[in-house]
Amino acid sequence: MEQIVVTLTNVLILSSIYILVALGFAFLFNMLGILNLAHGAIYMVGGYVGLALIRILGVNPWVALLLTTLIVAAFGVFLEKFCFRPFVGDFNRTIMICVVITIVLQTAVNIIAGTQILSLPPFVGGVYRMGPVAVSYEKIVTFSIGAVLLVAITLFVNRTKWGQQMQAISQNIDAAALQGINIHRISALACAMGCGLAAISGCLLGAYLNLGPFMGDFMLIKVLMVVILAGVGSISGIFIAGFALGALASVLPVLLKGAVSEAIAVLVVVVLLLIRPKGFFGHEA
Amino acid sequence: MKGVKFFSLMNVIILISGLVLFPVVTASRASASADVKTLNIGMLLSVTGFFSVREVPDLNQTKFAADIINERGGITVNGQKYRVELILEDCKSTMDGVTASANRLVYDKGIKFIIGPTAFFAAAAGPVCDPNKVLRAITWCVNTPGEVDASTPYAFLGGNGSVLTSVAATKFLRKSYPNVKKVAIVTPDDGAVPHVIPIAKNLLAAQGISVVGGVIPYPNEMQDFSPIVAKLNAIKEADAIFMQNGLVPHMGAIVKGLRELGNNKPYAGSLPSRIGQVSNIAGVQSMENVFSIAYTPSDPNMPPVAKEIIKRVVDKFGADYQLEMSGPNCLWILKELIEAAQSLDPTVVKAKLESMDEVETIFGPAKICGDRTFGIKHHVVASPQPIQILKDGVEVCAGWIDLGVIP
Repeated sequence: MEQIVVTLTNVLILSSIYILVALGFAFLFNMLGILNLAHGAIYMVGGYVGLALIRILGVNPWVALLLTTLIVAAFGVFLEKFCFRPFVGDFNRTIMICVVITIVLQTAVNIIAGTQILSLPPFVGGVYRMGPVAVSYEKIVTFSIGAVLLVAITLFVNRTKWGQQMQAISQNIDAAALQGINIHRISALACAMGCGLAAISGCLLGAYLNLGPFMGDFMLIKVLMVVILAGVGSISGIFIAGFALGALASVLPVLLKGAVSEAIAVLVVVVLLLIRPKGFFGHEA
Repeated sequence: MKGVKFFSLMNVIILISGLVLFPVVTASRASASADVKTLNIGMLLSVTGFFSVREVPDLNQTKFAADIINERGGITVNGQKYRVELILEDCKSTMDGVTASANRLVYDKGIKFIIGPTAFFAAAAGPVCDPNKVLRAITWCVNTPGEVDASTPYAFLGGNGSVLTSVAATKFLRKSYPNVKKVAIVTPDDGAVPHVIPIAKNLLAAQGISVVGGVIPYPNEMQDFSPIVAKLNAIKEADAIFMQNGLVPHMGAIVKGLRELGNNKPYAGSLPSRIGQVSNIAGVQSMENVFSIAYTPSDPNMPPVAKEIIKRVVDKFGADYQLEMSGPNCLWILKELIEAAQSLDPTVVKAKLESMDEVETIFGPAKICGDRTFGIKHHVVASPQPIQILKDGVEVCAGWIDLGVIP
């Protein structure tokens, strides 16, 4: 019984982690059509920037989270202007640019921060206990922030002028420009938001898990699975896909042994895509 | 005018002095370089890719060991002194990378002695090195086929290995926690499970400890260990958790998760992981009853050569730097074997290794053994292993374990 309760708790926590990390990636992909394969590296950099602010400058963790989001968002504007904008519509070159960004960021962090295992201090300490359930407040905070951000992003995209402009760009960039939408400004905003979201997840998971120069690689695979499963163009689908993947990642290792659980999880995703090729809520890209 | 003549005279004197002294100086340098030759020793380590987390520190520490050997006069064979020169080839954390690097060292550079590769990567170097009779000192072994066994006559285990650290961890567990009778084993599902776990179970049984709940393997790439923690926590009859293999982040995450669930059972890490780094993830408050195999810079009982290497590491990279120390140990053992054999022929050195029962390592004298466990006679050097714990938030050496003779 205790194991069932703990596993169900894990489903919620892992789902929120996947949703949190996938949000930034999905945002850029759905709004601008940029398959930002450097998202994992940016997520990793977010964690390290947060660590530097807390450990070196002694900034309060919550303030550091805010500052990190702004710093990495500014980096997103830089990326949009110098890395993505010159290759708009050129899928192959965008992929190559993302690979280059990933390698540069990983190598830079590897050289600057070194190879030792680091972790951000927990944003909230302590453990909540109720009967057989024991959940750290850190996990609860991660879950809550993931949920709040998901709602906020969905509202932003559907209810604000900027969000609707982003949708217009994603549907037809030329028509959007003819309507007077400043493509570059909106693209820069989308990149800033995407990178900012990556930074938030990097900080939170840098505290919940740990920090390493290659921590983004594995997470990127999960993110790709979530976004594809959610369906191109769907932000709210991220919730369902993240939950599905979180459930698989929490339950399968309990039922199966070792690496088999990972393989089965991927297999289940493939079967789901065979049944629904466009994902849960996808439309034609 | 008088001044001009004086400067001209001085110029002539300097010119003549230079012409006379130049051949003398260069001749003396030439004779010095003739006295000391260079012995190139290859290194098959991954300094890029995921495994660089382990290999970069090991490389840096091996460089310090080479410096110490050279400062002490190098390696002497038949009166001839050889300065050690390390030739690195980056294995890029892939099996293909290992094979390509081994090819470059063996065929392009004619290297006869190699340090590395590590663990399962070692199998990719064997088909290149063994037929060419290149002697390899493997830096870590997880007992998968082709690492160190009957199929690798020119490979010996100079660093540590899962079996060796298991011996140390089980002995320490028995000594420090006499009430522990049953353990749950957790380890990465990296292909070593069917090879190492039976040996680990036997070692635990030899200490009067049985395994309950089966073995809990986890995917090597796992990030969130909550499901594994849930499984381990459900094994109520276990008195302790025994972690066979893995990496620091794995151990940190599992310890953290267990402690959050209120599970405070002893946690034995049979893997090389600095407790300070584990506590970076798990938190200092989680580290009671947790130990692992690791070298402690402040250890007063650290043997002199290892102490000197660690001092240089700390001076250059800081006190928190990962201490692998297997590369330096391999280099030191190679030096000892070459000098014992008085030959630079790998076949002669290998024969010497197989005839010896003990060799000097950077951690002191170590038995050459492992015949039955590894399936090859005298190809395992069982160096003493230190245990590390966290005390008052500081890494402390809890003692050294003499591994004795591995069967």
